[in-house]
Amino acid sequence: MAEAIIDDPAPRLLLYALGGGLGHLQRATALGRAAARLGHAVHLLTNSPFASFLPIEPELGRAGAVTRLPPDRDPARVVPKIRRIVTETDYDALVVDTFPRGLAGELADLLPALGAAKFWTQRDIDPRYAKAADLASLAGEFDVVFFPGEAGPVAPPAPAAAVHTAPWLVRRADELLATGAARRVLGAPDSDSPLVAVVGCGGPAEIAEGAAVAASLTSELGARALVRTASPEGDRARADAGHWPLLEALPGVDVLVGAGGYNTVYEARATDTPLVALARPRRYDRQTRRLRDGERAKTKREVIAKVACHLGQIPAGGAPPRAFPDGAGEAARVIDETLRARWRRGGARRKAPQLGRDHSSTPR
Amino acid sequence: MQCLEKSGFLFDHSCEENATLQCQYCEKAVCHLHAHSEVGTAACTKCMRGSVRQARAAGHTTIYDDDPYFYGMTRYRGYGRYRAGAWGAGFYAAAHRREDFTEADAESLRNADDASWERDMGAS
Repeated sequence: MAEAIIDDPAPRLLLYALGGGLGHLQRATALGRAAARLGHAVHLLTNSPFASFLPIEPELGRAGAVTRLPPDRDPARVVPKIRRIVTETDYDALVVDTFPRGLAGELADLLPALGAAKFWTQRDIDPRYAKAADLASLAGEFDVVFFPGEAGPVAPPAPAAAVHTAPWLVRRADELLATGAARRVLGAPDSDSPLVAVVGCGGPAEIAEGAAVAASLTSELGARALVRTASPEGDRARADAGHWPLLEALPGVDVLVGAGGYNTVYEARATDTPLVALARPRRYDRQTRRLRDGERAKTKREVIAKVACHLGQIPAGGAPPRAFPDGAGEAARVIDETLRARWRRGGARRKAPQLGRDHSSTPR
Repeated sequence: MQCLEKSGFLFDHSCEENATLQCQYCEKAVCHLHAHSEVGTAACTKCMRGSVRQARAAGHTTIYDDDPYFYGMTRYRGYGRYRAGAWGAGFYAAAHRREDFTEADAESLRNADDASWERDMGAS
């Protein structure tokens, strides 16, 4: 297929946000909605098991699109679809969350030949994988490597290509609910009792354990606090109102109990919500390292003790709302400026296929 | 789906059983042989082995001692020690035995972690 030059000022972004749980999807959504506010057309690619019921499209605006791949863990069944999308879709910038080679290595041979600008969102990742997969050799393929609020093991070869921002959160500070409205969506509208929210977005076993923690907290705390589970989907059997994104409702939460994933940790810190977390084992993410000593609990008993301690320190009337920086907005502006600089230098916008004539979407 | 546990006494081997459970720590799909239950949760052999090792180091030396997957001193007396009198010493000392490694054994000698990167589209 011959290449064609098009003349349309609205940048088109393809966000590669594959990975289990909610973290990659939510971080990409944060970036996508910030980019949409700048007029970008955003196409988000996800295989999160949560994506099937989350309203992502409204977050990305009228020009946005979401491709939900089935949450199939077998690479053989998913990789061909991903490669087709990456090589046969129209976009100006590819933004890869966490895995520069792709979650199954499917991007490694494609990256050098892609005509689009490339951006890597580097969250913490196991350095053993970074070394085994030689991620450092790929860092130079990216126009910019973002570090959204935390360090990663791979620095780009050109220091100017490293952009450190505040964490990318799916709501800005001015978008959070007022305390009363927040407590209503969490199922505690008419109570002045402190509210403990227990969240879980991992596998079924972790969600079940979260429910058990919530039950223990309810039993141990009694009238001292209201305990609510808060998951994206909700579960009436567990008195879980279900609200997404939880960040909106954190002004109504006095203590947050969860794991040490990216969104839980940085949302709690951004809103000054005390966090008590059980670090979960993940293939690439090191939750224990992300958590601070005061946040980390090792057992259910320790969770209860830390929650009780926090409840004894809640200021009368609750904590005042706090402004926090918009890291995703900053990143979207960097992407926009990078693309326009490329176009000013004479780089043409390209239609699919993204690869040169001698490349194919099938791995060799 | 096939069980994803790779384990073995001397060399790690792939398991040919069907996976029926998921490890709650590493979310690896495992069969009933490679799933171990502790406090109502399922852990794969590899994750459980880490816990068992810690427990033994803390003084609980008999924990899982007779379980074939955890190489305790009850089932494998002398495991890890190959001097005379230890398990297996007589076998390998016999002059007529030649147990040579071939390139077919190389894959089992690789660090198990290396082989498990980029295998799971549900990882994070």
